[in-house]
Amino acid sequence: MRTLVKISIAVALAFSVMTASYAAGYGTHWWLNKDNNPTTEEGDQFTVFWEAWHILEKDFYGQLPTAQQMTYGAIRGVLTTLDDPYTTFVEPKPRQLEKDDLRGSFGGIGAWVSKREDGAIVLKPMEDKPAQRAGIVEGDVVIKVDDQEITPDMPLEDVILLIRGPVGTVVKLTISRAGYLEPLVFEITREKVDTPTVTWRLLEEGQGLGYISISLFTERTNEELETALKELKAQGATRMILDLRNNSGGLLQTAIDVASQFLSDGVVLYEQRRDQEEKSYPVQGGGEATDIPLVVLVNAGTASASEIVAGAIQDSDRGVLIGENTFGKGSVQLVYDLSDQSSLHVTVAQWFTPNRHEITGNGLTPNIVVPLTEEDRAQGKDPQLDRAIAYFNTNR
Amino acid sequence: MDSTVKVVQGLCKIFVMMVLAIVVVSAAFLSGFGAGLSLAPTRPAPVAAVGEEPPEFAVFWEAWHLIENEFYGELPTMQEATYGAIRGVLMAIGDDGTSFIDPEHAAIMREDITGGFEGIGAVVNMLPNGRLIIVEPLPGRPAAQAGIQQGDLVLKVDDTPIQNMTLIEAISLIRGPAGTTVRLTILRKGVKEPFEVTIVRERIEIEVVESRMLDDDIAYVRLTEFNARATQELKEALRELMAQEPRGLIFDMRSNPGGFLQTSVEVASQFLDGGLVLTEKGKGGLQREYPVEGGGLATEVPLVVLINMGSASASEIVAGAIQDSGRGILVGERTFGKASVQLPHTLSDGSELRVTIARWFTPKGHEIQGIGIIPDIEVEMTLEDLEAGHDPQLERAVEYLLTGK
Repeated sequence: MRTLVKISIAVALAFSVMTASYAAGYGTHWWLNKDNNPTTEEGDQFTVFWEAWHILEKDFYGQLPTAQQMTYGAIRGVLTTLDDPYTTFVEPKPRQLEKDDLRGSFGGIGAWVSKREDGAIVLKPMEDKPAQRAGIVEGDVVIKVDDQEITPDMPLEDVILLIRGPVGTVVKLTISRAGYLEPLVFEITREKVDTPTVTWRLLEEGQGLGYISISLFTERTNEELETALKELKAQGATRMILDLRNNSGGLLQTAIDVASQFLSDGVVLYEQRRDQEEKSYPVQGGGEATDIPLVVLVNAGTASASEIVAGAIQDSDRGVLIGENTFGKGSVQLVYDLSDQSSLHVTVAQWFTPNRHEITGNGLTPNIVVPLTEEDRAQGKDPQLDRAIAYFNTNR
Repeated sequence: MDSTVKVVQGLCKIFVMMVLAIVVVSAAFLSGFGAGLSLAPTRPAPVAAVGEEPPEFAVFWEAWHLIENEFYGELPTMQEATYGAIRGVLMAIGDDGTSFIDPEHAAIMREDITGGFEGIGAVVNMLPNGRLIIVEPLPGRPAAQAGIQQGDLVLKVDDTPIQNMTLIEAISLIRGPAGTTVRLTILRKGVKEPFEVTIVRERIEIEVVESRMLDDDIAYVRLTEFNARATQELKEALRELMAQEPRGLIFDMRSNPGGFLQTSVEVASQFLDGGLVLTEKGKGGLQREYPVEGGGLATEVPLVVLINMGSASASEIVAGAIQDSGRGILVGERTFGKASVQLPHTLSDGSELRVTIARWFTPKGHEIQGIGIIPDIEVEMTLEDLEAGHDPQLERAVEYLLTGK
C-alpha cells in the first residue's frame, strides 16, 4: 500500500515537472544590463514599428493588450524571424517555475496543487511536509493565498507561484473544506521541497543488475546520481542500466557531471560558438562507475543533455545504447534573465559528440534497436529493458 | 512672406493626402482574391518621436541586443526584425482582420487599381484554421485550366508554406508577372497525398458583374466583388434587365469576398427603398448608421439572393439588409461571418497596416462575426453538383420565384 502511494506521487511529480513549461535548454547566464538603447541606425529602421504601434493605440477597435504584452509579442515576433525553435522568450512567471525545476528544489509547503474542472484549486499534502503538519488534508480548496483571492479563472501557475516563496517565510492559506461552514485559515512556514530526478533499484531479474533512471538534468541530479551509484554498489550491483528515455535534457554542466560518473577520461562534447574556436569539455575524473558494464536506454524523447551523455558513452565504447533513435537536438541555449524577470533562451552554440557526430536532425542511433509499441505500453511490457537484461545475460 | 509660406505648405498637405488616398484605394481593391471591408484613409501615419518608447519596451532592446551578440545562426536584417516585431504585436492582439503587409506586397496590390492583376485567376479565402482555400477557380483562367478545383487547400506556394499567413500575404505570393509560373502544393479531399500543380500566370481583367435573362422571364445578375467599379457595372446591368420587365430577379453574391463599405451601401440601395443598410459600432461606443440612399433600380421586383460560405463582409452587409427588411429571401448556404471594418494605413516605408476600427451589425442589430448569415432556404452545393454542372441553389431560387415558396 505504501509503495503504491509513493509510486503515484512519483508519477505526479514527473507531471508537475513536465507541465512547468520546461524547455530543454542549458546553462544560465546573468545578462548584465549594459546600454540597451537602440543605436541610431536601429532606431531609424525601427520607425515603422512605432508608426504601427501608435496607429493601433489610436484606432484599433477592441481592447488592446497591455504595453507589456504588446512588447512580449514584439519580442516573440522577432524570434520567429530567426527560424530557430529553441530560441524562445519566457515570461516572468513560467521563468520562475522553470528556475525552480532546474534547481531541483524550491521553497514551498509540500503539497500537490491542481485545478479541478470547475476551476477550484485543490491541495493534496505530501507525507511529513509543512502542509500536512499544519493540518491540510487532501481535497482542501484554496480560497485565498495571503490576501490574494483565488478565482476560478486564475492560471494554476499563478497560484503555485503565490504559494511558493523563500524557505523560512510564512504563507497564509484560507481554505474551504467539505463539512465546514466557515473557511479555515492555516499559517504555514515554507521549507525546502526537493524534486528528485533520479530513481534507482536493484533488478530482480539477473544477478547484481542495477537500474538507474534520470528524468531531468537539474542542479541536484549529479548528487542524487552519486548516492544512487554508491548504494547500488553497496547492494552488490556489478552491472548497470542507465535509463535516459523521455529525458528532455536540462543543464549542460550536469550533463558533463553525469557523463563523468561513467567515463574515466576523454571528451564529453565539443561546442562550436559563433566567431569562436571550438571548445572541448573534458571528462572530469573521479567517477563512481567508470568500469562497471553499462547499457544506456534511449528513445525519441531522449533529447539534448541526455544525448550528450548517451553520445559520449557510445563514442567512447564505454557502454551500449539500446532502444530507439534519439530526438536530435544538438544546439546549446543560454538562458538570459531580462530586466523585468522575463527571460530569453538563446541558441548560442552547436555541440558535437567526441567523434564529432552532428546531432541536430539526426539524433543518436542505438547499437541495438528495439522499438516499444503502443501495444507493449498498454500491456505494461518493456521490451527495451528486457533486451538490456538479456544483453547482460547473453553478453550480446 | 509668411502668408506665402503658409499657402505652399497647405498645397503640400493636400498633395500628400491625395497620394495616400490613391495608395489606399489600390490596397483595398483585391480583384477577385480579396476579403474584407475597407474604408478610405483619413490620415497619414503619425511620426513617432525618438525616445518616446513606453518604459515596458526596454526589454525588447535587451532581447534584440542579446540576439545580435549571441545567437548562433544567421541574423535577420533590421528590417526583417522590425516587421517580425510588428507581426508579433498583431499576434498578441489576436484580431484576424488587423494585418501588416510589407512594401513589396503592398506594391503588388497597387496594380489592382487598374481593374485587373497578373495571377492565376482564382478566388481564395483564408479559413479560420489558417488554411488557404480555393473558393472558385475563374472559368477559363489559368487555375481552372491547370485543374485547380473549388475546395482545394493550398499548402505551399513554390516552396513557401502558407499556413497561418494572412490572406493578403498568401495572395501576394501566388501573384506575379504574366508569363511566369507558380507551383502550388494542393491538398484535395479524397486525394491522400498533397500534389503539385504548376500554373502560368496571366493578366486577368476583372469584370465584377455578369447578367442574363433566364427562362420564364427571370433576371439573373451576379456580383463577384465590391470594388470601385461595382456600383456602376451593377446599375448598367440592372437597367438592361429591368427594361425587360422580369417576373423575378436573382442576385448572386456567392463567393463574393467583399470590398468597399461604401460600395455595399450603394449596392444594397439598388434593391431597398428605405431604412438602414447597416449600423457600425466604433471605438468608444461611437455608433454610425448607414441609411439606404434611395433611387434604387430594382426595389419592387420579387427578389432572391444567392449566398454561400464564400460570401463575406460587404456581401454579408447586403444580404443582411435584404433579409432583415423582408425585401427578398436568401437561398444557399451560411455565409463566412466577417463583420469587422478595416482602415488601411500606408506607413513611411511603403508597408501597410490594416487596422480593424469598427464592427458592423445588420439593421436589426444581428451580430454576424464568426456566425455568418443563415439563408431562409438552405440548399447545399456538392462537389458532384459542381462536376456535373448542376446548380441546385440557382434552381431552387428559380423555383421560389415561380411558385412563391
